[in-house]
Amino acid sequence: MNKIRKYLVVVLVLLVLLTGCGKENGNNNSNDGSKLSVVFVVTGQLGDRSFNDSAHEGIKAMAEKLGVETKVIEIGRDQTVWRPTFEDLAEEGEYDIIITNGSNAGELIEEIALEYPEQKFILFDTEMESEIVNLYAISYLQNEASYIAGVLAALVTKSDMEYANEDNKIGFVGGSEHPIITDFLVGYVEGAKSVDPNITVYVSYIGSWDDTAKGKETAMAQYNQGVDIIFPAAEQAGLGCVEAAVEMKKYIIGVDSDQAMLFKGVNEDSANVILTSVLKEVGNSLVRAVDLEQKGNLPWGTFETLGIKEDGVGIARNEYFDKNVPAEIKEEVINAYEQVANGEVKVTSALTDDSKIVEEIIRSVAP
Amino acid sequence: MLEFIKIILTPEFLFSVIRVMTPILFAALACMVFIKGGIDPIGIEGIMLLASMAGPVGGYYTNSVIGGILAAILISLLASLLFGYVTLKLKSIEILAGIALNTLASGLTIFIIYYVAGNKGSTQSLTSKVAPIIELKIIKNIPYIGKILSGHNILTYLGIILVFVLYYILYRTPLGLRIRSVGENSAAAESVGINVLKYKYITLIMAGTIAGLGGAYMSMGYVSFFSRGMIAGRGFIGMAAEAMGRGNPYGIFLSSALFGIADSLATQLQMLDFPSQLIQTIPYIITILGISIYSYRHKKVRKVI
Repeated sequence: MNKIRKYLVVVLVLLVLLTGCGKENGNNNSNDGSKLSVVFVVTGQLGDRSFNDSAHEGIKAMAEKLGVETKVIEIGRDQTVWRPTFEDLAEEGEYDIIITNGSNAGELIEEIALEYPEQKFILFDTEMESEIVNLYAISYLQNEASYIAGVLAALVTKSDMEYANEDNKIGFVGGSEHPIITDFLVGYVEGAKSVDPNITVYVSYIGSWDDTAKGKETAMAQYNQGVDIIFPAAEQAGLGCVEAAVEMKKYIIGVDSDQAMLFKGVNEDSANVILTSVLKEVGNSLVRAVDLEQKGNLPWGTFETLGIKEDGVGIARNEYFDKNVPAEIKEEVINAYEQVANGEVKVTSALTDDSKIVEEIIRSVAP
Repeated sequence: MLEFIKIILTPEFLFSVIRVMTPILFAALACMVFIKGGIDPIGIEGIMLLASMAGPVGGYYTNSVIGGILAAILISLLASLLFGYVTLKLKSIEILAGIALNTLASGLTIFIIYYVAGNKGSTQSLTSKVAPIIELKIIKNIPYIGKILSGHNILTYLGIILVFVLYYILYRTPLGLRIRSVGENSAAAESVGINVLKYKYITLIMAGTIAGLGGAYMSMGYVSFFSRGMIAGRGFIGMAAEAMGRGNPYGIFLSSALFGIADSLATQLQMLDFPSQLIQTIPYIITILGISIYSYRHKKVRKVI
């Protein structure tokens, strides 16, 4: 046993050392002072066809449109390597701005930003409470876009579309309980209720953001209860829900990226069951932020909340939406879109409104 | 409550139990063989992950289901033998080698699918090859039961058949006797002229093949693509199921089924407005309960002796 412990210590020490060395060794020419340089640190991996990929698109667009020097580093989900990586980046100061996902690494970045006041940070998908002058955060009104998704789902389940049944039941699948996921949910429920106050919304959580098989299982359980359209907000695990929909001939509303278009040409069956996707325009919002920074207008030390009006969130109106959603439903969805955009409809938020009210709304449609 | 009972009695629910149980059963059977041969099964998670990656990739390159399943078995054999080489030949500590294997698998699978499919998340851009669904001829027509037992993936049936096959091999053949004796006391086995190393490698090959089938089921049956980290602890749950099944194939079958029930139950109950945090603990509570009951009975038996 002692021997094992000794080995374990050696391994741990090696791990720490190796991780420490794992930083990006610099090409010094990237920061010659004239060009803005940004690094996007992916807390997870690219290829989630969702959140990180959307941010990545924004990074690419920045390089093209704004002529910004960009770099992407993937550091995986192992949180023990996050702090050293960010600290190394901040200490080297090679990049003007470090961009990362604040819903995962927000608290960590707040600490590091205080430690390294020279380094600027942009966090997406988080609200920042303290006023740190080298930090700017973007949060998204996902509840607004989810409201539109709810409107669509309620109209679809009532319709005589091919895969819709007679039950007025719709579904929501979350990765796990999280304030942002609840924000998606409350908007979805409100949207659905605006169409049909007596609708039933089944809510399940997968308990994982990666487990696609469990995602499929969870979706199938809901479909077996007579649900005919599910809105999964579960990152990669949501891909399992899409497969359940294809197999059981039901519908899905995608999330974060335009998921139907990602399946286009690769898997038409999957593309066709995804009626639309609730988009967080992470990419756009990052381009907007960096553009503002170049002009010297970015409000450091604050956070901004972008909704439908600011194009921070939206729903995908792609060819599959056009092809698969009947005209009268489309019209009503677009109406709802405009109502939210011009402030006629105020959507409840799980992040800012009283949690009791939020819970009441969600409970009111429980089976 | 009525709603709850109604759901549990539906054939769909019992069907899903079998579907959920399958990967755990494969993992537990592989763990059982490992342990019988005196090898620590901690690397099972990584071996299955590698296999679940190799399935769709192999299926894509050979354009056949068989090719995919063979690729899954092949890579898990390689991983299992690598583990054997490192622990048996190079004498490294099994726990460390197992953890290293799991870490290697989680990184290597992402690297390979990025190379092959151009995406670090999943292999959905490859045309998927899925192991066929089997309709059982006579059973299919029995009302209710037919709906539960028929229409599963071929690998599910294979897993159930393996329970009996493994029981026969381990307890009714000279090969099984040697594997068990090597696992229980390798010095004693050696003293009666058994080639310990040979039987350890046979154990690795058997367990690797079973783990490979389990991995293939995940990505070529349960879902039709590989996605990163998709084993998601099922290998480890298999280890627990093995312990709960007291290392006996039939016991393992029952304990895997119990895990399947717990997991499916958790999925169903959530929809009925129970607090989800509480429900997601059900599978773990059952694990603790199962192991406690097992060790309690074990203690009693020992006292009697």
